Amino acid sequence: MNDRDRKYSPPLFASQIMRYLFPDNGEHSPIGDFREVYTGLCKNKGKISARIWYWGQVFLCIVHFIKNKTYWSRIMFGKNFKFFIRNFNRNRFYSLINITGLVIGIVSVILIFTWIDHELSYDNFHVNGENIYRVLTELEDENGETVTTKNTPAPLKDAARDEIPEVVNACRWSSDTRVPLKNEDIKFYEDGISTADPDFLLMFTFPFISGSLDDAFIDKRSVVISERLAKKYFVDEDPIGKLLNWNNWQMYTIRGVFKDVPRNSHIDFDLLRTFQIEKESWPAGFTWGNFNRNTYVQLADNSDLRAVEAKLTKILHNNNYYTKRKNFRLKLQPLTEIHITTGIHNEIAEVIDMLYIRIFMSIAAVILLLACINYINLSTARSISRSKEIGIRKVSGARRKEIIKQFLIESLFTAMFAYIIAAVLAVILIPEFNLITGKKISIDIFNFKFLAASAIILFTTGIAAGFYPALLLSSFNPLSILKSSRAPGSSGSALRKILVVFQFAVSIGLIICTIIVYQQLNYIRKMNVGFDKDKIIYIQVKDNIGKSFDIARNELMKHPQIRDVSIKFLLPGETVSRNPIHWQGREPGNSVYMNLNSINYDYFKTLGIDIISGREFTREHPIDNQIIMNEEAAKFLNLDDPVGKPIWVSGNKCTIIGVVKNAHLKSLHYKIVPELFHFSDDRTSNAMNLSGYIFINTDVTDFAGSVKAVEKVWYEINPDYPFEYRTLKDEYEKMYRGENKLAGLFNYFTVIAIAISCLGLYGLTAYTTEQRSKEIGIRKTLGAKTSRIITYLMKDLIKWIFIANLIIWPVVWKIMNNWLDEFAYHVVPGIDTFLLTGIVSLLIGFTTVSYNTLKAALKDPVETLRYE
Amino acid sequence: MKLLSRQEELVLIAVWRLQDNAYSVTIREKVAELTAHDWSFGAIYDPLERLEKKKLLNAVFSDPSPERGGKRKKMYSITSEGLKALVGIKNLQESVWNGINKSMLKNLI
Repeated sequence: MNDRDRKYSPPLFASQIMRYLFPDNGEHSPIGDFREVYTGLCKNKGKISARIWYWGQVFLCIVHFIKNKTYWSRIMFGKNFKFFIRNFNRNRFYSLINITGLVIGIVSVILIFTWIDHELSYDNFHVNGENIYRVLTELEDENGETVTTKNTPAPLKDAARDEIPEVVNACRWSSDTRVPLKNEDIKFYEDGISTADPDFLLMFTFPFISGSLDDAFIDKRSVVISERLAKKYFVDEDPIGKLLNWNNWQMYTIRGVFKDVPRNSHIDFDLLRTFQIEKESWPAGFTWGNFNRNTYVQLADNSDLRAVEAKLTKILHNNNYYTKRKNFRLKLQPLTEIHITTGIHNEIAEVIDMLYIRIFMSIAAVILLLACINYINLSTARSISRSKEIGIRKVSGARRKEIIKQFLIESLFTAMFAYIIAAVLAVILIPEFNLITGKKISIDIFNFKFLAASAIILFTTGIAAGFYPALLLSSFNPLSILKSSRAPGSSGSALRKILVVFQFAVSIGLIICTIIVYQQLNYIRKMNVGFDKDKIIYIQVKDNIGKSFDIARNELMKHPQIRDVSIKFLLPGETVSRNPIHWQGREPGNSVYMNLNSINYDYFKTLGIDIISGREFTREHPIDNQIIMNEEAAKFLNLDDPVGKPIWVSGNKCTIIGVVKNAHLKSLHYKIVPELFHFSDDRTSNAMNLSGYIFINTDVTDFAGSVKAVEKVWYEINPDYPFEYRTLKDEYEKMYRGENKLAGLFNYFTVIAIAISCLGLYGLTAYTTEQRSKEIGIRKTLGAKTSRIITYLMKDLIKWIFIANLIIWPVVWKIMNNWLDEFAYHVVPGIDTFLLTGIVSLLIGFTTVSYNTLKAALKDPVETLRYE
Repeated sequence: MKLLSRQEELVLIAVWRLQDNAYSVTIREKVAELTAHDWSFGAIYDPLERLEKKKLLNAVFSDPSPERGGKRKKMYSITSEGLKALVGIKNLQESVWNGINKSMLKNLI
């Protein structure tokens, strides 16, 4: 091409489009005509108008091309749809098996994905979310292990904002204990009381419904409340400017109402107040030495996280020498990662282990895969009945591409049909599913994300299910199909065998997992935890009941249902202090730390923890500088007879007065550690008044009566406070919420996997035995006994299931041992579980195929051989 | 005799008139000139194809030329059947119009 030609060549992109629209087939091409006219226009009217004309032609050609394509594809689509309906009707039984399998699979996928989507959506609604981080403290404990906590000292917030340029804003937020709120007659206990800095509302996105952000915290008694609380306490009135009574103690003025906190927020609150009141009454809580606040910082765009972390750590070290010596480090945790990070000490809200998310994503994928396998197996097995159709189609001129398209469209239709049913079912089933996951998720079918995800699921399902059958069926040579009665696909069933083995392997694996999870949960439930967890109710200390504890106790003890009563600052199992200890015979070297628990009179008797030797704190004996320890501590100290021996706790010389049995007050994820107990009579203090507990050992046979008795005493002493009780049993169950959810989900999905696999196997055997009916007939006429034929038909199945078991056992063994290792105390999965599952899987397999096998074996050969 | 459509007739006449230089671009121009309307290529291709099928036109490929971006021209020429068809159309036209007085159309022309 010379320069002159290039001068008159049309726009490159446009001619490329043209080349696509009119592929060169060696004949006359319109591109040449366009080109010539373009050149002419260039010469006569100039390049610009020539270009405009050329582009106009391109546009028209595109429009025409699309029209043409859609017209013909519509026609072909209509035809294919007709074939789909015909085939569906002709083979209703197999089509139903296919659809049922797919429906079950897709429902599981929808449910699991909505749940995972919810879990992963935590804290993603904040406008500044990408730049908000939570400050974490990382330190090494006495054993040299790294501990990460979300607690930071209160002054860090101001220091960070003032001294670090990257920090745009910072705030603290903390959740407070459950207290009653009151507006005239309306009084309830509320969980969502929290305290924050005014900047909290600027950093995070919790929009106001009424009131203004500027005077939300105009004075220390100003609070903002959620829409929910506003409705609850003020019904239809406008709450702005109204007073709300807090804890029967202070009156707060409501300055604003915000929209209820979304469910996917790790920060959950209904009432927000400032730190001022707390700071006035407890200045020590606001020093560099007290790690008791959650600090959030908002950084400038593209800040260097490592640099900010280093600066934060430096500020901490400068203000608290102890932290420097102990090498405390401050870290930043992105807001959206809070919900999916485990292992952080004192976490605010429940978090989800990414492991569980991955497990369930795989389960969803596998279940869908099982359903697709059914489709593949049945379609390829049925190839014989469709081979003639394909042969005729090919002879009439259908290209392979068109046959593939036809089968893919068929599988896509099946998937779509299944999807519609599945979506409806998912909406119906989501409340049930919520019961297992403990969430309140709803499905919005017309949500864009849902539709997009649906389209993806639908296409992957349709293509995964239809791809192999389409390739196989379209590969048939029309000559050989039409000449012989055998379809090529019916003999090459190796893939089908592999797929059936895979289905069984998955089902067996899930059965074993479910059994082991249940064994572990049962172990937890049945385990002798060392205290009367079923008998103990506890109430929160409020108002007078702390001061009048002795009176209350006496009153309560008058009731025959009540065995014992004690008071404690924290729940059993919760410890705040670890102290260095020393005893006679300690090997010199590293210092030894132990948990120190503050308890009151009759604690062990109330909790039902046995005393091995010595005694506990009683009113008849002096209590100063005395220590009780658990078995584990006694073992650690390695003293012959610890009772009466001296022990130094934080340098104070104390006497050991008793040893008690070990009790699993924490969850079984943790090992029992040495615990020390000392007497603390702080029941009249403010702290106790806010978060102390009274424990009552009751008679389980008359539980309701005991609660009544406690309630009566409560109202005698605390007439202004609503009565409320909880049980240690609930608390205990709460520790295994994650595991219970896991068990529930495993349970359902195992059943689903088995159902899908059996459905597929049933369909497959129904088909293959039908295909072999002639063979069986001949065998019978030649003298084979029915039992021989049954064994003959079942032989393969036993082989498959046996292989499936062998493949999956090691995999499950590995996975489940990893899971069990998360527990300090766990069951050891025995070989019996595996063997039992193997036998069960055989039984399931037999039951599934038995109907068809028996039918085939018992059939009179005359019937099968009559027509030839 | 099969009747031709108006487009086919126009295209056929254009090819005949163009004699040795009849191919898509010139035909389109000629038709446009004759009818004083703009014609798209699509409106030319179809009649050409049909006329070729009816053996009223003959087509030969010329050598590729650079001004057409290396694409070949399809040169058309009218066959004797084509000429016969044109004559037939003309006769038909005239016989149909025969007997209509010019004064009847006076107001319209």
